[in-house]
Amino acid sequence: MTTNLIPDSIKETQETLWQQLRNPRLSFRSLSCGNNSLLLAYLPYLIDMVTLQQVLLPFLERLPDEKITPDALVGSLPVARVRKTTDYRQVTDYLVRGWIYLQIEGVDSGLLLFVANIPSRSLGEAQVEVQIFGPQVSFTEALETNLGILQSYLPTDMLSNVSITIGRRSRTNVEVCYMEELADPENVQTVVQRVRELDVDGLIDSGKLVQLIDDNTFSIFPQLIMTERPDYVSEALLEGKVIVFVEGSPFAIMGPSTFVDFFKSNEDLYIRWQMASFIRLLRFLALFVSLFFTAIYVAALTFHYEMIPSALLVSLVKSRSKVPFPPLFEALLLEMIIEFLREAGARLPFKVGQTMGIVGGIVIGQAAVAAGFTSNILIMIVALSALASFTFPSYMMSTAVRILRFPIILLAGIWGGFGIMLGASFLLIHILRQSSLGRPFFLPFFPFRLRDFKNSLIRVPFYNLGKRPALTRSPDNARLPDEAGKKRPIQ
Amino acid sequence: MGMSTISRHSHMFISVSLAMFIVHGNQVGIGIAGVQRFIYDRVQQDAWIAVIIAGLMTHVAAWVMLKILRKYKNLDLYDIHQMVFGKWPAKVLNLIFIIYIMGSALTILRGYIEIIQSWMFPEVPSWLLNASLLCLAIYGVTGGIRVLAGISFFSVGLTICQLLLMIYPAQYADFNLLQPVFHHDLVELLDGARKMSFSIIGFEIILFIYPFVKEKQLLSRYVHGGLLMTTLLYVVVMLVTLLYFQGEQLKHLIWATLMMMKIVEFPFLERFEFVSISLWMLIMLDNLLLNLWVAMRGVHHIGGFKERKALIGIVIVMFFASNFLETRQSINWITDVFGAVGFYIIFVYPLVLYIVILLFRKGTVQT
Repeated sequence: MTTNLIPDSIKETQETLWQQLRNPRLSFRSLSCGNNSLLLAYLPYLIDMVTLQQVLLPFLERLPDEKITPDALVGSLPVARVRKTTDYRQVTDYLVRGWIYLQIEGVDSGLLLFVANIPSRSLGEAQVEVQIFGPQVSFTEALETNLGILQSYLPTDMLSNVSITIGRRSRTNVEVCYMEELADPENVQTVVQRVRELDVDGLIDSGKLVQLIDDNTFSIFPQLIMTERPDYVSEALLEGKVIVFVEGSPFAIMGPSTFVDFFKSNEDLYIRWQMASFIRLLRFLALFVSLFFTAIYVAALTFHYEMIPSALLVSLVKSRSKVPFPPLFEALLLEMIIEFLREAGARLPFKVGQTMGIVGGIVIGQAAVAAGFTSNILIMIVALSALASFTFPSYMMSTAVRILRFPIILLAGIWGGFGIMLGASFLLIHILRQSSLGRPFFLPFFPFRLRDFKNSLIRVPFYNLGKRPALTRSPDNARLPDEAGKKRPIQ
Repeated sequence: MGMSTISRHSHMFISVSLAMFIVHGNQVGIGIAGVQRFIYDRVQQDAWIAVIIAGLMTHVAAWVMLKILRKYKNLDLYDIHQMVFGKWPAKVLNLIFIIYIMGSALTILRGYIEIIQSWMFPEVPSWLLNASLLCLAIYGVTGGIRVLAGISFFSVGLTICQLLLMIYPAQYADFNLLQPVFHHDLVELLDGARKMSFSIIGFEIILFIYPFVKEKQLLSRYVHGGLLMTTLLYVVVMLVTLLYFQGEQLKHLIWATLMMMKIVEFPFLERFEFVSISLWMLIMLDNLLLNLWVAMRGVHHIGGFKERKALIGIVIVMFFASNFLETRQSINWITDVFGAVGFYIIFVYPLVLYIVILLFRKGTVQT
């Protein structure tokens, strides 16, 4: 550190900073007021120019004539955050984050002033996790904004943060948030330690971070939920979960999460419990349909056609009579077409994408049947399983499920029902082996926890959800006073 | 990755209530698909009484096993052998146990594959089915005791679902078929119960999971709960079978339970036995996994191999051994042998061991 000391002459400082940053936009402003010569250094595109010109410069010009010291200035500068420094490496670090450097001639230390105006977008509606009912605002790319939104949902001193800088080159700010007294310290410790131990080059998005800190990199299943919804994050914090924000990413990471959590939407809390339970069950049915429906069709038509009742078999055979391929090939072909359409829809510009998706789907679907490539019934089944996979609130999980469909269809094509069951057993073992922040991934089912089950496949009324989930091992379990369940208000 | 904070320690233990599922899951496997004719051969319409007697026998045997385990604080049978008999005799006994356990794993695997080949895929070679199921087993067993407990849990759930389907054959129940009842003396009934031993053993698993169970003082109630569930399951299945089939018919049915599944029918689905046989994989998978796990622990114990290496070795041995069991006769033979041997190992041997411990090793309570 001793080698990075700031020289006491502002001319030399200027030279040093030039050499360090090599940025032609690095701006210097020299001021002389009375006996003092001052130097301001900043990157103009990161600075709030209005503050600089209308507040800071007039203040500095009005400084008294006699010699001043940085220490005397600290107290009187009209800027909210001021830091003293003697290290020019630190100066460059702060300059690129929107701070202004201020040095007085003849003093070998300087001040850093926070006058940043970092370009960012304004708040918008959630685009990825759409909700019909409930709050609509979503996180943005700016970390400070995200923390601000979160604090506005939870204006309490229990919301605690740990700041960590990650990435040797990218120097990205990562923020771990949790509720004091509600979050299990061991969970917080796990997350903080995993993030701290990272030694990566650059970390641009939380999507990258989540893959670096989850329990099993080799699993196709995501083990930590990513969300852009502040209300979801607030709800999770109240359950005792730990949240990670990454500068530049609108998606927060939350954990520990279970397999079932990926099929929950926060909207389920805002609608009445009967509706929420119905919709949750619907999603789990969708999971089953999405994983196995096409595979069952392939298995039944290839090996077990005795299983199909004769009336149904007639229409199936009629529809397949022109198709020259075995069911396995037919199904894989159609599944591929659906995946092409989905991917094309995701990559194309918004307006083109939507029309193209619908028209492409109908045209290709119709033509495929007319050309004798596939049967009508299979088109219906494949479309149904694709549709089912879109009901999952988590984009990651729905992608994982859609990909898993292919090996299961293949197994069904080779070994029929036995093959499907082989795939299903493998999946079951796989899910049972996973953990999320060291907590069991399949939690409300195995190990079975009634307390968590009440808010998993179904959602019971809030008066019966008086405890925080067992998943988070919260030190303070009571969400409602014990007697609340019994003494509910009677109208 | 920063995994160091996860306490691996807690992954080694299972909560005591899961013992119920492990016991029940390990008892119910491939045997329930066709045990009925063996018992019927012996005691005809009194078969259901023989099932109850067999159930009572399991409770007694489990009681003795728990007594043995309680004598030593935190040891499994392999360790107990060593404590009681010394190093080398224990190695011999443990080896016998390992061979027996591997043999029953083989019987289960072979039995399931035979069903697959006879009902669904006659032309698929058995080594291929063997290999795929054994690979699945390696993946499961390396997951540790908690994964095994999980598989047992879901296996039991599936067994109960399949049991509900007994409503379909029960609709055709003819209660006259239950006559003549009480026509056999106790010796015959006991012999009938013994015929069932292959299908009802598996609860010896408590001898091996004992060190991994939390709150051991509650273990006995869950073990007996699991045994009771199994007995009830078998009684229901046996009764429905007796009420559904004519006696002569039953004698010729290798898989009476599967035959009853044939009449389950939904508007979109007929021939339910195909679904049932496929789903059966999970019901027998926990038996396979648990037996392999026990054998793995045993080989690890007597040979000092790393657990993973021991498992791979066992699976390779099983793979080659299963290829010798191609015909119905050889499968019948191994089922009979391990059924008979199993009876002595599971019902008789623990009693002998307990007496030996009581007589010769008074007051040896070790940790």
